[in-house]
Amino acid sequence: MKVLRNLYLLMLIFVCAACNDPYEGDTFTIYDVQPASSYLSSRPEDFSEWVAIMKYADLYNAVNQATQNFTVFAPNNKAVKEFYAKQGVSSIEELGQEYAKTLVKYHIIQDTINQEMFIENAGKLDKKTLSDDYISVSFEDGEGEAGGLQSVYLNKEAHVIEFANKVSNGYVYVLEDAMTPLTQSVYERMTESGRPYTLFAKAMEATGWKDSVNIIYKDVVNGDGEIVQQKCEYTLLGVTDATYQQAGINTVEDLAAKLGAGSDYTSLSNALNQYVAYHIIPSAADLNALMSFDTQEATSKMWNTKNKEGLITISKEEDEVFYLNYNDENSRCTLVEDECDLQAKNGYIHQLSGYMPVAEPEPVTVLFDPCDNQEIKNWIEAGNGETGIKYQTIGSAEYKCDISMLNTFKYKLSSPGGKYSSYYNVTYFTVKSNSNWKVANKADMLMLNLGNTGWIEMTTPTILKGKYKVTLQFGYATSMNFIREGSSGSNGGQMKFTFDGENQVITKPYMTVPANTLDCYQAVIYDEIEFDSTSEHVFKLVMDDPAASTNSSYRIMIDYILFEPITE
Amino acid sequence: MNKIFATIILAVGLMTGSCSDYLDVLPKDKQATDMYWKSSADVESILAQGYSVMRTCVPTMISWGEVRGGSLITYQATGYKIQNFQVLPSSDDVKWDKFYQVIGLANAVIKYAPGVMAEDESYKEAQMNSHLTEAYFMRGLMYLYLVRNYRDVPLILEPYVDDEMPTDVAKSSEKEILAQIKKDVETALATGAAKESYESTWANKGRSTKWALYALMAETCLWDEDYDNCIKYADYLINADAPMRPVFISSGAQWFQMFYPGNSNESIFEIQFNGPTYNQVENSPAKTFAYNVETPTYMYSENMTLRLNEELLQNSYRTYFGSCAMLNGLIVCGTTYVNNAIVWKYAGMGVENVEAVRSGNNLDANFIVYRMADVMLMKAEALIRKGGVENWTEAVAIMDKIRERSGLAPLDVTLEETSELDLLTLLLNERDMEFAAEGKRWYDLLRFGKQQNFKYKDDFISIIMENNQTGNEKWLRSALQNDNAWYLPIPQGDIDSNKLLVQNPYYDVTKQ
Repeated sequence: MKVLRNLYLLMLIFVCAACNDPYEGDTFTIYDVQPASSYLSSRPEDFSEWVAIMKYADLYNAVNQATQNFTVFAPNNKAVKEFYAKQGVSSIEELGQEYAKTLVKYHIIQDTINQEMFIENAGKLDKKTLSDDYISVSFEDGEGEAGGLQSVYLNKEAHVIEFANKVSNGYVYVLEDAMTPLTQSVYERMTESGRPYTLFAKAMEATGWKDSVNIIYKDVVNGDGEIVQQKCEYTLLGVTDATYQQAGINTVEDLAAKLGAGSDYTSLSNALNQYVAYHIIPSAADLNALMSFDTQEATSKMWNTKNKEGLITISKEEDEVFYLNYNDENSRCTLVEDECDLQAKNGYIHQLSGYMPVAEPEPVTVLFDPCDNQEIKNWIEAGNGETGIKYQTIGSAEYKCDISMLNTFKYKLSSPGGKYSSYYNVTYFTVKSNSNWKVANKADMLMLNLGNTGWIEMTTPTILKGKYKVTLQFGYATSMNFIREGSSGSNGGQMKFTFDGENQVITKPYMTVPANTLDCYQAVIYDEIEFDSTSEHVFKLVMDDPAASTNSSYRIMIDYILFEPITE
Repeated sequence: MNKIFATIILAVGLMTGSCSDYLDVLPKDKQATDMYWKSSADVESILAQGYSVMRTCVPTMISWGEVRGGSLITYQATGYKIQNFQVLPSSDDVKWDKFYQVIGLANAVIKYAPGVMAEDESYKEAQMNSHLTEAYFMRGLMYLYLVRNYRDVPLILEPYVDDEMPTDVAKSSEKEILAQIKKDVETALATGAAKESYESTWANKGRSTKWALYALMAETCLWDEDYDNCIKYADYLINADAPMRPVFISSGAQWFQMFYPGNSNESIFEIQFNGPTYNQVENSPAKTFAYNVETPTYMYSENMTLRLNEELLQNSYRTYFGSCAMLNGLIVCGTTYVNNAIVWKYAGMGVENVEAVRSGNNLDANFIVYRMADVMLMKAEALIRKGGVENWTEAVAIMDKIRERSGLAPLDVTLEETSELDLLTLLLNERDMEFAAEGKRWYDLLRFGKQQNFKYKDDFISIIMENNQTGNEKWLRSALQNDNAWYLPIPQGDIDSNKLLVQNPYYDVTKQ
């Protein structure tokens, strides 16, 4: 108490003392973090040119919104002036407002990307720019003071000189060069003057594949009957004229002859047509993606191509080199890394070291993750789903998105009624970090609530002909214990599976769950199934459990289906 | 820097602030040093505090000394970013406050111990000088860790006891820091007061001795490319004949005694942990490397595991139930990372039994800072760098002696046909295998990469690229090209509070 009294006395002295305030007249900023645009305006010596472009594009205020998060890649004044010189103009007005909008949008991602995430991996950033493009990060070799953080480039074009300046609504990265917005298709980029792909481009033209890969957006009708634009993405595996010449091929006819193709090049059954299709991967895969595998232990991965019967195997072999079709000597080749990642508006072009005829690879394990799907990805990235959801990303909470309206899956519900409508019929959801479900492949699962007799069909990736064991990995929650035990009206979660309408099995995977513990579990659904041809297959799952239409906790969760080849 | 001083002042303050009469409390910027430094016990107490804080540095010493080298790797958040050269100044992993805390305590002893003689008649000069040798060792060792990790750091030689001390301190160069460490060791040795042994057995290895000062000097000189002095101080140890000198254990069968029970004849200085008596298991390497095949903090990398396998096939003492353990005829690896061997030397109990592992209060393995094999190989490295057939012959003989102890064949070297690079590669490999997981690999590689004007920079990068397969290959190659990235960023908190402190230019890429 004595101490307290002394303290009060001391405080009183401080309060009453008529001291001079040494900071009188000084202004103290309590909150000095500005939103992105204001931050750029506060550094006119660096960004006055870029700010002028943002204002002309009418996007200055948009990037200042407090309710949105942005990562802005801001070219400095020197970069903007050099960009003008390259474009042969002296001001943004000469390029027009539409171009300015595209340019600015190409430099903004509507998400926060901190420095750690930014330099985590070479390759494209997960999120697209506001202009609907991927930006790729590359790390160049440096000499002396360069290298690492001093040698980070965007699209191999723009040198990053400042990282992750924190602003109130995101981050600002500073570029020493502006990025040129992408407008051309993969075909247009491949046929730019000076590119070494003349013969391959001619083959694309002769077979008609040119027209496909030239499409950047197409109109599709979604499940709600609305017409929406869907981006068409491709990866071209290009073969140079020099490589063809080494194989004694100088004309399209030579190539056709080498492949034993007939003259009807536009026919899908024509060998030249199939060869060209084999060089088109139907997604935008940068070099980093091509050199990545599904699991930590995996050393190879199969890639679907536009040739329905042709798969490319990319593997890392003992010499630490990534090969395409290593097991087929005729087709075996590598990626010419320095000539890869040529970006286009709708994908990438990579250069091959060989001419890569269609290979006959050995059957390998195929992991079919139904959520690893371009349409679902586009849907989530378009802002659908619960706030916070990020495609294929573990979150601090689970995030769901109704995907019932997408075209990806064909499904039919049982007659309406019962309690089964507690969940969306078809749900995409990402798992959370503090749950056993975090082991789910690519951090997501497909949750189905179709009711008894309801069914869903999905198309598998191309699977090489042969015999396979088929295993289902599925999610289980403790609220599903009645399914596991076959109680409360459930027969144990019985389901019927077929491939292409054949090989029906009736099984109860949830009854194999050993204990009432939330986790991902596996159940073998086919000890052996034989596919007669190398092709995609229609997998159908039919619910055959009365409780599926009556119990409000009823749903099933599919992580992936694994096809493991059986060698005799 | 304010953080450093705050830490130092807190440590001193804790020991001085035990009075009960609040009205006698001095202003906060006037610590009662003259009320504290009254007896030899006060000096001993601060020294003990220094050794105690050193214990808290051990997990950092392991992380900083290993993961960038790629022989020992981690997939856990702590250390992973350092391992892949992606650590940011804001990361807790780069905080240096504990090292400066030890320096602050050493500075206090150096400044105030002489004055205690006037207060305590029983405190004689010889005892005081002996205490000073310990403080110089502590300060030198901590600066050697700092200089190897940050290159240029603030050189603080005075204890922070009041506001008169500047809190904004600029960095001193690597050369200046190394010169100071050498000066400290020379000052300590000049008085002749450095002990060869203490009354307690543990203290012979757990407190600074003349031997520890020699080892510190040899390593500092090696880092400084002062090869002649490295050899000179290494020889003081190698050729010593005092009865209580550290001795190279020549029997391979006794190799594991260095780790269990520890404080072996070979040891020169170990940071001590005592579980049964003082419950000191936290921060012990036994805790860090506690036997765990499911979620180990650290594992040997895939390539290191292959090297260990090669030695296992030769029944090498240092490897077979030394660096790693065996089960059913196979090296014990992780259950998730099946190609990565588990570290055994701090986990095992000195018998060839994978179930005989430390647990509970027995998780108290010491952290060996210096042992004879280390000093011998320092000398070998200096001899290789000096060149000449005679020097190289001696260097190979040293490596062979260490190999022979583990039951390994001598090196197959024809000196006429070999190069400096070949010999340095053999030496690096020898150190890699002998000191696996002992917090030395990164510094060994860094010397290799930077010395003689970056002569072997490309080879240095290749070794790391081969061993570290946890990160993005392109990033690693790019980052390693930049020698500023070989060092850690100055902690952001210190950059914010010390106006004179300039960030390592490599990390100075964010303006706000």
